[in-house]
Amino acid sequence: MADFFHSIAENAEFLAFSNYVNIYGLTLVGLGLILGCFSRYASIGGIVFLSLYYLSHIPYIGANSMMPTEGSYLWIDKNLIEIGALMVLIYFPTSHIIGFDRYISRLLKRKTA
Amino acid sequence: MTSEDKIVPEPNKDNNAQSNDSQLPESQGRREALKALVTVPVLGALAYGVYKKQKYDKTMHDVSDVFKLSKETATIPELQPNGKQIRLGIIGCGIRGKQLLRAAGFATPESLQKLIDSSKKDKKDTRYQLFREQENLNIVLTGVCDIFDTFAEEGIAAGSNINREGVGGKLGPAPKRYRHYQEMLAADDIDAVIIATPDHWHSTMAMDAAKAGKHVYVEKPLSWTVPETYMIREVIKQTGVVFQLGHQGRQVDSYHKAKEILDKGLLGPVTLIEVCTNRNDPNGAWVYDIHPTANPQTVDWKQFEGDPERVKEYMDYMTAHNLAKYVGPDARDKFSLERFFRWRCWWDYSTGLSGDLLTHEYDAVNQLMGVGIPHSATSSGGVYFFKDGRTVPDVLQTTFEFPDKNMTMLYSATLASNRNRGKVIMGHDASMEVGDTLTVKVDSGSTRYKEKIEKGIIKPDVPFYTYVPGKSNVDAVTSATELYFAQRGLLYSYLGGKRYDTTFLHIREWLECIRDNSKKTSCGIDAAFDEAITAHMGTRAYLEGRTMYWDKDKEEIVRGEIN
Repeated sequence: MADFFHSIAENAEFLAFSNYVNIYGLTLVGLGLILGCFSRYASIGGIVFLSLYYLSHIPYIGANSMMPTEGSYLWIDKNLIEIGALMVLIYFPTSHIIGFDRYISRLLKRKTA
Repeated sequence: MTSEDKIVPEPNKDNNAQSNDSQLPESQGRREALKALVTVPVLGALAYGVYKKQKYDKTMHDVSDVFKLSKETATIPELQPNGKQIRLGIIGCGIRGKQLLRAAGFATPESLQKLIDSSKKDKKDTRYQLFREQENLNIVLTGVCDIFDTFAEEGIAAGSNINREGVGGKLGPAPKRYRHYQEMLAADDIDAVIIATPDHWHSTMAMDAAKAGKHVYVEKPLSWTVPETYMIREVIKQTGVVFQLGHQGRQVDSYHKAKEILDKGLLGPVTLIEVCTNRNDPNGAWVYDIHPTANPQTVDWKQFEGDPERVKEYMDYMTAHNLAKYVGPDARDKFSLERFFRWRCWWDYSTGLSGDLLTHEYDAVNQLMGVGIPHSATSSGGVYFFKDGRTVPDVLQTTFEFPDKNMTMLYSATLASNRNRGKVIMGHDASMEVGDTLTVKVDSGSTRYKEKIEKGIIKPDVPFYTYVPGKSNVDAVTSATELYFAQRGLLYSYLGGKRYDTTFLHIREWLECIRDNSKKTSCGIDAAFDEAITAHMGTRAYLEGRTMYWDKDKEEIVRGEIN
C-alpha cells in the first residue's frame, strides 16, 4: 500500500491531478452533505476519501505519527469514526427529511414511475 | 428495496407525484420548501467564516513592507553548445579524488556495482539512477597520477568506465597512469588537472600545472605554508589558467537566497557570526582505513614526503618560532602507513581543522558577505579526545575580528561531539541559520520589525522565514560524516527543482569557464587567497599561542606581541 501512495506523491502530474480531485471532490462531498443533496453519493464519496486517508496512515503499533494528531491511536482513528458516521447516513438518509433530497427523490420516483 | 424506499415519506402513494404537489395545501408546500432549504443558511455562515479567516490570515502575514524577497530560484545554465571536449588528468585518487572523479562522471565498476545492488534491495535508493542520469560533461579522463598503486588502478578503472556500468560492463580506453605528477603535466593530451592530494602538495602542484599551461581545479585549502600562498596567486594570475578552488559550497542554492536576505539588510547590522564543526566518529576525525595492499613497494614514499622547497619553508617557520613539538614526531623519511592514510592528523602534511573544515565555513561567509581577510585571529584548543599521536588539535576555537565591518566571526569545533550547531549569522533585527536550508528568526529586540512584533504579526524567536529547497529527505546519506556535509550544505544543491551534487556543479562550472574565457569561476584565486591566509592566521595563532594580525597594505601576517 505504501508504494501506491508513494507512487502518487512521486509522479508530479498524478500528484497535481490527485490534489485537484481532493480539493474539488471534498468540496462537492461537503456541499452535498450540508445541503442534503445527493447525500447518498456524497456519503459514498466521503467514505472513499476517508478510506484513502486511513489507509495511508493506519494507526498501527510502531507507526510514527506522520501528521500531528490530538491523540494516541491504535487501529481506530477519526477517519474510521467518520467512515462509520457516513455509513449511518447512507442507511438513515436524513436528507430526505431535511434537505434537497426531499425533492430530488420525489423527482426521480416520478421518472421511474 | 433501497433505503430510500423505506424512509421517504410519501403522502399519497396511489396518485402520481405531479398531482400530489398540486393537491398540497399552500401552507404545506411552504413547509416542504423550508424543510428542503433549511440547511442553505449554513453555507452562508460558512462562506462568511472563510472570508473572515482569510482576511485575518492576510493581515497576520502581511510583512511585505518590511520583508520582501524575490521569487527567483536558482537554475542551472545549459552547457555551451559545441563546447570542445576537455581532456582531464587527476593527481591523487584517494577518498576525495575518487569523489571528484565520480562527480565528473567517472566511477569504478565496483563502486557502481555496490550502488546497483543496494538499489535492488531498497527501491528508494536512487543513487545509481541519479549517477546514470547525471549530465555528461563532455570530458575524458586521459591521465591518472597516484603514488599508491591501488588508488591509481581505481582511478584508471573509473576513467575507463565511460558507460557508467557495474562489474562486467563495457569499458572504454584506459587513462594513462603516471607515477610522478611532473610526467603528467608534461603530457600533451591533458588540458586540465584536478588536484586532490594531501595539503602539503596543493600549491606546488597547482603552480607547476599552471606553468605547464594546464587549467587547475585544486582541493581546499589553497596552501600549506604561508610563503607559497603568495607564490601561487602570482603564478595563477600570470599564467591566466582557469582556476577553481574546491569549495563546492559555492554552488549551494540556499546561499543565493541567504545573500539576498543579507544584501537587503533584512537581518539588520550583523555583529556576530558563529560557524562550527561537530563530528563524532573516527572517520570524521580523519582516522581513515589503512589499505591492506599498501606497503613500501606499492607506495612511493619519497614523493609523499613533499617538495623540498615547501618542506624547508615549513621547517623554517616551525624552528624560528620554537614550534618543534608540532613537527613529526616521526622522521619525515620514515615510511608510515598511518601517516600516509591519515596524513590530516599531522602538521607535517596537514593544515588541521583550520585548513580542512574552517575553510568551508569561512568561504561560505566570504561568499555571502564578502568579508575578505580578517583583521585578526586568535585561537585556542588542543588534542583532547583523539590521543592517537596526532599533532593537530581535535578541538579548536578561532575568533576572527573584522573591525571595519563591526563584526566577529567565531569558529568553534570539536571532533568528539555530534551536537548540531548551525552556521548562524546574528543581526540586530534577525538571525539566520544557513545550511542546506535557511531559517530566519526575528529578534525580539529588533528595531526594524518592532511594529510588527507589537501587533503580533511577527512572533520573535519562532522561525519567521524558512527556505527548504527540493526535498528535505536526503535519501542517499550513508554515514555520519556524509550527514555532516549534507547539513552544512556541502553535498547537494537544488536547481530548478532537481537535486545536484554540489561537487558536480563546481567541476561543471570550472569546465564551462575553460570552454568560455569570458566566464569566471566562483571560487577563483582571489577568494582562494583570502581563504588560505585566513586559515593560516588561525593556525599560526593556535601554534604560537598569540593573536595574528593582517596588515592590509603590506599584505602580511603580523604577530601580536605577548605582554
